[in-house]
Order: sequence, then C-alpha cells, then structure tokens
Amino acid sequence: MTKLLRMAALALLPVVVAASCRPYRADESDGPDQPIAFYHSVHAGDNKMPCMYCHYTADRSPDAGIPSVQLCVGCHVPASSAPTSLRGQSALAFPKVKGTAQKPDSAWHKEGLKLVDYWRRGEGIPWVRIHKIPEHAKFPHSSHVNVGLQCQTCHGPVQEMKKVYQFSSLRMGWCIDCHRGNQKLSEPEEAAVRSRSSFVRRLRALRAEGGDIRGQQATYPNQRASTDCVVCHY
Amino acid sequence: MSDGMKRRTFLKVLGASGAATATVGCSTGQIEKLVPYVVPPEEVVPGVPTFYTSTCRECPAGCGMHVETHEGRVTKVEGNPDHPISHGNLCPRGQAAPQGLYHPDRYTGPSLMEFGVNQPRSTTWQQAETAVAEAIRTAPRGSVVYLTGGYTGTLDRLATDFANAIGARRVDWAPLEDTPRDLRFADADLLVSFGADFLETWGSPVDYAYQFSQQHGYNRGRRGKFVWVGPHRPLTGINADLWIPTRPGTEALLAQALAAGGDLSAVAAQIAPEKPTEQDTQRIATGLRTLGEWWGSSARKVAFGPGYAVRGSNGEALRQAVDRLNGRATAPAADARPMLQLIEQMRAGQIKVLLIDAPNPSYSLPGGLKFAEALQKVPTRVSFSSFPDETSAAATHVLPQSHFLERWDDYIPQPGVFELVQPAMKPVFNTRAVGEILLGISRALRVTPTPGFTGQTWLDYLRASWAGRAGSQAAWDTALRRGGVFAENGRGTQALGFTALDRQAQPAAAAPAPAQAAPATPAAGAAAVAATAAQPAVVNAPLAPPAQVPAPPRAVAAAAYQPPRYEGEADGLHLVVYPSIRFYDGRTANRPWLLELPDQVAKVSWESWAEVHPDTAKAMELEQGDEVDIASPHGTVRTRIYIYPGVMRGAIAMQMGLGHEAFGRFTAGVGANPMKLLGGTVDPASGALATSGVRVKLTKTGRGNVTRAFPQGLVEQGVRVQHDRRISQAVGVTALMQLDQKGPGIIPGEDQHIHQLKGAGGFVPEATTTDPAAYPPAGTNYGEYIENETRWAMVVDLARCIGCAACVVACYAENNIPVVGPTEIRKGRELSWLRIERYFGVSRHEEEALRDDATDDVRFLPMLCQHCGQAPCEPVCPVYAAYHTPDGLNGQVYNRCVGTRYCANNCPWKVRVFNWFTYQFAEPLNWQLNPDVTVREKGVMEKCTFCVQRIHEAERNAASEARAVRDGEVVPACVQTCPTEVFVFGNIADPTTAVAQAARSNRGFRALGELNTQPAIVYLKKVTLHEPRNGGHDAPPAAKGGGTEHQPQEGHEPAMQGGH
Repeated sequence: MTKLLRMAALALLPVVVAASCRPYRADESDGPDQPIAFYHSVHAGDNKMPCMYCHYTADRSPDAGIPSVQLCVGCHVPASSAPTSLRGQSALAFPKVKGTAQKPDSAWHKEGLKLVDYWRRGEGIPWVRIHKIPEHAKFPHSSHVNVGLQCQTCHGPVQEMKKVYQFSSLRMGWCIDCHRGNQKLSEPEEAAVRSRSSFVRRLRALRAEGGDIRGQQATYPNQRASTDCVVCHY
Repeated sequence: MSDGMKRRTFLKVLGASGAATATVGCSTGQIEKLVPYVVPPEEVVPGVPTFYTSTCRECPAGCGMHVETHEGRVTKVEGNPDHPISHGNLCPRGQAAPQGLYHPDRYTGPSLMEFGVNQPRSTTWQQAETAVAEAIRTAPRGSVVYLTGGYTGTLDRLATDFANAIGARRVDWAPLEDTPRDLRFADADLLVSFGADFLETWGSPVDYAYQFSQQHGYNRGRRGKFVWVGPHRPLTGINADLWIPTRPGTEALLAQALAAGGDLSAVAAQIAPEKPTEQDTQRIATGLRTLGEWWGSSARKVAFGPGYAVRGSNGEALRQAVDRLNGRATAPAADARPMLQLIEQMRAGQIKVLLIDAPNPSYSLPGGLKFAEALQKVPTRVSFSSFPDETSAAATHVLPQSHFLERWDDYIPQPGVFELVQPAMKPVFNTRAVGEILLGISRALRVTPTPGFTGQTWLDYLRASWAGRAGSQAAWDTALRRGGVFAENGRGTQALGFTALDRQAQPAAAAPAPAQAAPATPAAGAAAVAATAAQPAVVNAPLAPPAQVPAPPRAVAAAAYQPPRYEGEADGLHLVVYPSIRFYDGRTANRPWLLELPDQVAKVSWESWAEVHPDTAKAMELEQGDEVDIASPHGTVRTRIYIYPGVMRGAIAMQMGLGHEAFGRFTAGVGANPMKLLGGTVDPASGALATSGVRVKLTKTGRGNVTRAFPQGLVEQGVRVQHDRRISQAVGVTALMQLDQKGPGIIPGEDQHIHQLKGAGGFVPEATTTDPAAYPPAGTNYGEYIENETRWAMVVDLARCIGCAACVVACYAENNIPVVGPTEIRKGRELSWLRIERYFGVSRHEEEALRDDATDDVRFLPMLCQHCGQAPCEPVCPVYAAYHTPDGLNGQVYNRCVGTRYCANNCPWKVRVFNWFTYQFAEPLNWQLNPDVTVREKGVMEKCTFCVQRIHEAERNAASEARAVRDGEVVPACVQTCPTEVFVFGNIADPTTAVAQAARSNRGFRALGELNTQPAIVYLKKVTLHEPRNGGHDAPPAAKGGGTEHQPQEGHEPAMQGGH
C-alpha cells in the first residue's frame, strides 16, 4: 500500500511541477486577469495611442517601463481637477468611447474608480507580469526599439488585445532565429536592420583606409544580429 | 526504500515522471507582479543608473565620488573625475562604502535604556531627543561634554554653537586626522617618508597615490626615488627604493641630521637596534650613505612624517624637522591632553552627560587609558554611532546617524576645497544626520544654537551656511553637480600620467570645469549627474559669522630630540602599531569586502597577525602561524606570528583595526587589537598621543601553521617567491632608457622560451607579439571573429602599481562577487576575480623571500583573466560554457556551466573561481547587487569578464547614437577606480587607441608568455633603480656607473652573488 502511495506521489510529481508553471499558448484566453480591466485594444487600438506614450523608456532603457499611476491619472482626470465639461462624470473623466454614454454605474466607471482608489491610497497597481525573461539572460528593449523593430513584432497585435497575453515564446531558440535572420520581418524593419549593418560595414571600411585587411565583410553576412552567447548572458 | 520500493522502481517511475515533465514544458515561472511607481521620480529612468555627486567620508581625505544608483538604491561608488583630490579614483575603503550603508548590523532607529534595564529599547526620535534634552537640562553646570571627531565645515560650526548654547564643553578627538593633506610632490625627485604611510592612511591617500605614481612610475624617461625610514615596512614602505630601519623613536634624529645637512653616518649607532647584527650595521650604513647622496643630488625633495607608527616621545621633534626639510609649516599633531583630562573627569564622576560622535574611542584609544571603564561612570552616555560598536554598546541613548551616502553634509579637507555630501538615496533605516540630531535636541531644549538661523532642518542650516559660497539656486546646483566649490587657483587635476600623455587629450583642468561635465562612467551618455531629489523651496538667509573666530593653529615650542624612553621590560620586542589601509583605525573593519580582501602586504584575510623578523623568530623558536600572547605593561593580546623581513630585528609590528569585541557579526572573534598594548602616554612637546615606545614580551601558546588537523592557523594567500617563473618582471631604469633611445618597442615576445621549448621537442608555437596587427591571431577560430573589428585588451603598468587593491574591491562591488568567509578562505575558495599577487623579487627559493633585502624589490601584479587568444580553458569545457567571443573575450556562460571545473584546472593563471555554495548576501547587503550582472549560484564557474556589462552598455549607447564606440568609453570597474592609473583598457585592434599605444612599449611582456596562449593583457615591467636580479635568467646587469644612478644592491646584497 505504502509502495503504491509512493509510486502515485512520484508519478504526480510532473503534474505538480507543471501546475506551478504556466504553459504558454499564445491566445487571448491565456492572458491573465489584471487588477484593473485595462484594455490595450481601447488605448492602442481605438484611440491609436503610440505604445511609447506610456512605455516611454523603451528606447532609452533596457526596461520598457510600466507607466506610473500618475501617468494614468494624467489622462483620467480626477473630478476635482477636471474641466467643468467633464466634471459631471463624478470621480473620473473618461474620454468618450464610440457612442457609449458614460454612466456612473457602467463597468467602465467601476474600473475607473479602482484607479482612483490606487491614486488616492498612493499605491502602485500590482499588474500581473506576462513577459519574463530568465534572470541569466539580458534583453535590452532600447537596442531593439532603436534599430527599428516594431513592438508588435515580438509582443503581437497588442492593439487588438483586451487582455494582453504572451504572443511569442521568448525562448532562446526564438531569439536566435530572429538574430540569424530566419524569422521574417516586415519590409521597413528589414530595411532598418540592413541599413544598420551596412553602417557598421562602412565604419569598418573607413577604418581600413590604411589599406590593410580591415573592411572585410562580417563572417555571417545574412545574420541580422549577434548570436554570441555573452551578448545576452553575463 | 526499505519497505518496498526498490531503487530500480524508484528510478523507473522517476524517469517516466521526468519525461512527462519535459513534455509539459514550462515557459514562464510563478505569477509575478509588476508594481509601477505612483509618481515616478523625475531623474530616474527604470533600468538606467542615475549618478549623484558626493564626497567620501570613510576617512578625512575627502575624495569626491559619483554614486551610482539603480531605481533609488546605491549600487556602486566611483571617483569623481572632476574633483581636485580624487582625480576620478577611489581607494579600497571608499569602494567599500556601500557595505557601510547596507550593513546588516546597523542600528535601525533610536533607542534608549531605561532605568534598571540592561537592553536599550527602541523608541521614536522625538522621545529620544526629549530624553537627551532632559538629561542635559538636569545636569550640573560643566558636566556635559560633546565628544566630536574630525568635524569641519558647517557641522563644526553647528557643533560649536550647539555646545555653547547648551553649556557643554566640546572635546575633539580625531587622532588620525591631523596630517597634511595638501602636499604636492608629483614632480619631486626624491621622497623621504618617516614612517608616514601616505599611500594607505596618512594625509590624503588617493591623491598621494596619484601623485606618487607620477613621481615614482616611469614617466617620460624620468623616475623619482623614494626612501622609507621606520622600524617596519607597511605597503607604502615596500614601495620604496630604499629602507633605513630605525629603532622606534629615533627617526627624528635622522630627520634632524638631514635638515642640518651634516654627516648622516653620525646617527647610525643611535638609530640601530640595541644589539645590532652585522647586517643591521651594514644596511644602515649603506642606507645612510645612499640617502645622503640622493638628498644632495636631488633638486626637488619632499619629506613626509611623522607616521602614526613612529609617533613616540619624539613625534613633535620629528614633525618640526620634517617641516624644516620641506620648508613649510604644518599644524602640530592632535593634542590628546583634553581627551586625557576628560577621561580623568569621567573616572572621577564629574561628567554627567557625554555625547559621543568620535570614532569609537572605547576601541581605538590605548588600552592603558581604560576609556570604556571610565565611560561606565557617566550616567548619560549618548552615542551617535551608525553601527553597534564598543562605545555605543555601553551607551544609554543611541541616536544613530545616517551613513554619508544618505545624508546632507559638507566637508573641508584642505584649504580651498569645499565639498558637499548629498544623499544618493533615502535612509535605509530610521536614522538622521548628526546636524539634524543636534537641531532636534536644541528644539527639545528650546534653545537656538546659532542666532539668526530661522530654518527648521539640517539642510536649511547647510544652505544658509553655504549662502556665501553658493547662495543662488543655480550656484548651489552647480556645486552639487561638481561635488563642491573648489578654489580657482587651487589644486587642479594634474594630467601628467602616461595615459593622459598618450591620449594627448586632457589639458590640465586647473580651471573649473563646466557644470555639465559628464561623469566618466559607462552611462555617461544616458545619465548625466543628477542634481538632487529634494530641493528646498526657500533659501535661508545666510548665517551670521560665527561668534568665536576659530583659533589659529596652536603654537608649539621647538622640540629637542630626547633619547627615547621605552615602557616594558628591557629585553622585550619593540612594538610597532600601524594603521591599516583596509580598516583605517578600525572604523571600516566591519565591511565584509575589506575583511575578505587579503592584506596588501601580508596577504592574510579575516585574521590579525604580528610581524617579526625571520632572525627574531628563529631566536625565539617561532614559526609562521604560531599563536602567541603578546604582553605589555598595559595588556595582553593573542595573535599569530607572521614572519616578515620588512620589520627590523627586535621589533614586532601589528596592524590596527581588528580584534573588535562588539562591532557586528562579521568582526566577531576576528583578530586582535594592538591598541590594548599601548599605555596612552603623550609626547610632552605637543601633547600628541604616543603610539610607539612600548616593549612587549612574547609567549608561545599554540603551534604550527594551518593543517587539516589545525585549521585555525594563519593562511597566507599566494606565494612570496616567483619560483623563477618571471610572472612579474622588472627592468632597470638605465637599461630601459637606453632601449627607449633606440625607439619605441614592438616587443618580440617571449621567443627565447619558445625556442627552448621547441628544442626540447615541445609544441610548435607562434611567436607572441604585442603588435595590434597580430589580432586576432591566426588559428584562433573559436567564436565568430569579425576580422580586426574589435579586440578588447588591457595594459597593466607594473611601474605604477602600488598594490593597494582598490581594483579588487571595485570588482567585488561591480560584479556581485560573494564573500565566502574565513572557513572557505582556508580551503582556497575565495571568489575574487582579480587578485594582487605580491612577490618579493624574482627569487627561486622560499628562503630568499626571508632575507633582509627581500622587501627591497617587491613586485605587485594585478592578476585577472588574461582573455587569451588561444585560451586553455575553452577547449576543455564539455558544454561550451567557456568559449571565445568575436571581440576577443573569454566568455563564460553561467547558464551553460555544469561545474566540471576542467577550465579552472587548465588555467595557468588560476583566475577561474568556483561557486561551492549559493552564497548569501545578508539583508540588506543584497540591496547593493548590481542589476546588470547575474548573481551566480552553486556549481557555476566564474571569472573576470572585462566588465562585459559595461562593454555592452557602451556599445548600446554608441549604437543608439549611430557611431562607433569611442576609445576610453568602456571603463571596467578596476580601471575606473585605480588611484595610480595602472590600467589602460580598450580596443587593441585599432592602432590609435590608448591601449594599443601603451602596449607598444619596451617594457611590455605577457605573464607566462612562454605558454603562447596570446593573452589580451600586456603587462609593462616594473622599473627599478638598479638592474633587477631575475633569478639568473636574464642577461647580466648593465654596466655599472651609467649616469648618476646608484647601485644600492652592492652594499647589502652580498648573498645574491652566490647564485643557485
């Protein structure tokens, strides 16, 4: 009996292990519920806000940055400081969404009140993390944004997502695939990446004006970016 | 398993489970929360460090620093390149400052002891201040004393006013802070130090080390000389070209003879030990003769002294003689008599309230004074200490002050230099600046310390005090960015170093630099030095001038030399107590990095030792590591014997700083405190405390060096002799000048050895050169080399290295290197990526390192990963964790590493270290961890990466600005901090870079170059005055009599001619 129990326990081990880590599926049902039902589809999609309006450190920091509560409140004006025309909407002024009138008891309004509560309490909003790279790998957002990659290339159609989910696997093979040039990029992206590597080549040619062997082509001319281990692991 | 499940079944089921786990897979970990700022601080970009300018307060030198913060937490401190004192560099103590900030033993808030209770109870600031105020109010007149240590600037002003306002007497006690910090000697031909360890603690060590490297390094064909006078050679002493051993207390005699210009040999008998041996006599005679010659032939000469270790009854006479030698007047040593008087009054019960903000007097005062005992007679003992220490342990009220990285302050280290200390982060614990505490107590007493001061906070007071210097907001911001206000004609940064010469890009920055001068940090582009988070809204009216004009330096009558008197038995050993470059007087002894760092000379960590001469040891039948009781008339300490030829016969030298009884978890039970052996006598001429003049008796209590059965012995890291391996090489200055006249060198490598190997049937190697065109070398096909694009390389100038190990601590700080502790150190498991090898010359046999002349040619060698072109570590790794990167680094991929340790076994330099455990960083020491570097776990091999995170940062910055990485843009942590600018780092494939130019030198060599692994590190030979003895390997010494160079080895190195 004991033996059976032990065997059962051992056999259950993978189930327990699997339950403790979330499998990746790349569809919207995989997106976790967030403390506030914040819709990227409304902000980035309907209202066409640029991603970097909120994630404004993406081009200058390894972290894209999660917007502060202050940034949210900057648009969603608390009633006390709202313009007179919006003050009627009690606590929080939301910009009008196509045709829907703002009602104090609407779902929108309730979610808005949550934001007000965080702001009043001076608390950060505990967003559930979706994208996570292991701590032994470094991923600088700024390099990728500055080279001309679109956010959607890795993060998927965020402008259509109500609940954001993990679009790409974020596994090392996925990274390497793109760095090797195996993953298709949009035309403007491809052009941007190519112009950059041609710039690197031009620099090398400039430096080689002494007439020596400098200025040769990169060892892997089709490669988009380095696949050197230490570029990400250090 | 016994009750049924067999091993086989277990494995079967487990195997199936494993397979199942693998199929399910796992992409993201547990659910994590991302909590953003509510209101983001203006100057913080998450993920990008922010730098604040501040001033180091670990010692009185006052070096300017840049404090790196990540998301509001201090992670690293670096020198401020815009600063006239630090020149952009820091010493090991300064580098360890964040560990003081995050020390897990710090007081978390104010506490006070109630009547009849032994343990202090934590309380609020208001209650603590009220309690102290109440004690002051009820104390009889004249029974309140405020004991301060080393105050200058605004805090000095406030402390004086505060003491006057509450009717207290102020006693200043800062015995190590009375040395001149404004000497200029970068262009001197000859330095003579009378026991003054100016590269370690004396004066302004970072500035002095910088000047020393220019004076003493090989610089434009010129190399100055340095003579050390004293009973013992500490780090500064072994950097000297000549040592004249003196009996403690007689140094003044030599200084006076030098000043009088007479025949130096007249003092030979008096400075010699009581019973001189033949070698002593000869050494002193040669030394005096050489010193006389050098003194006569040198145009510009600078003398230093007296060092703490040689302050005896003749300390004042020595100081006056040194002043005569320098032709300038310095202030006399700190007067200890007010302190002695205070201790008497305390003992007599006349002191009712004692406010203490002095450096741990219970520990650092001589044992004979029995301060701790006297302290118990004071009913109200208020400590402002940050840490629990011997003094605050006896306090009734603890009002902990903030660390200097989290408070406002200012400091005036020398005339014309006004520095600001600004908080780089909010206080870690509930602590306050001393100024804030004084204002709080004043408020509780309802007194106004400074008439006319209307503000509330210490910052208001500070700004009011600075109104004359930087009154407007713009001027204040500028001062904060630069780190202070420096006089126009004051000390400028001196661009005399060879790196500056080679780059020819740094004009002497004597004029004040522009306010926006970017810090020379990797993030220079991204993060300008931020001003301050909390700008006060109102600038206070300037403070009225102080009521009392500060007294001029006290006059001391001319002091005559008296034959030194010694306490203790006549046949005892002379005790030499010297301050420590790591621990100063003990105040920085609780920093784990500094405890782990082996002493720069003894190469011992986590332990104290007593240095004795080999002959003395032999006579007393002592061996290295023997445990002894050292007894003076004032006390006894127990420590271990370290056999060292750099101490005179008949003397014993001990370092200050360890042997704490209550200084937190890291110092518990570590080492011994030699101050206990001193009596606390004073020099009658100046009133300065005498640290020499005691003789001690030794009793052997324990046996042997470290063994498996006897694990408590002394562990000396590394070896003293090079065993003929020519790891650290030197060249005589005459020979080098002849070489240089022939032209700059492309060093033809170590082909002699290669030919020998070939002759012996060894491998067929390719000659190694330092020619940049040789990179990457043919046949190095590991990794994806982009031909000649980049090859990161380093030049290490051994002529400039003083062995201070600031680079080692900087490496610990930058790269999240754990501290393994004494037990693991004994097993050789230290994790330092960079170590300083210390060799006594190029000797072959161990006994050669014990000879009298062994310390005359000490070679320091920073040893780090050589990033070989053909690295022995790479092909042996079964999982490709060690591999070569396209830009010439030896990569180490932690997540690939499975810990076979083959690479470490195959590394000839032993620079790879292994994580035997997942080492812990005691909260909140982990706050210091650099987020740009992975924290390694158990089972992973690690090593120097050339600070690859900084390389990537520079590359990213360059890419975002669409340009190539500039020369000098990548600054590894060791390069950044080096006070003597030993290191040059850059891309050696580009012949225009500083590193490529520095490598093209007649002094260049590779460590173990005969192995032909084509290291990326080129060492430049140390430059000695005489032709070095290279163990019989090298060509015979150059013909004597070349120029005026003296050949000091001829007199006292007779044994060398024998050869082996």
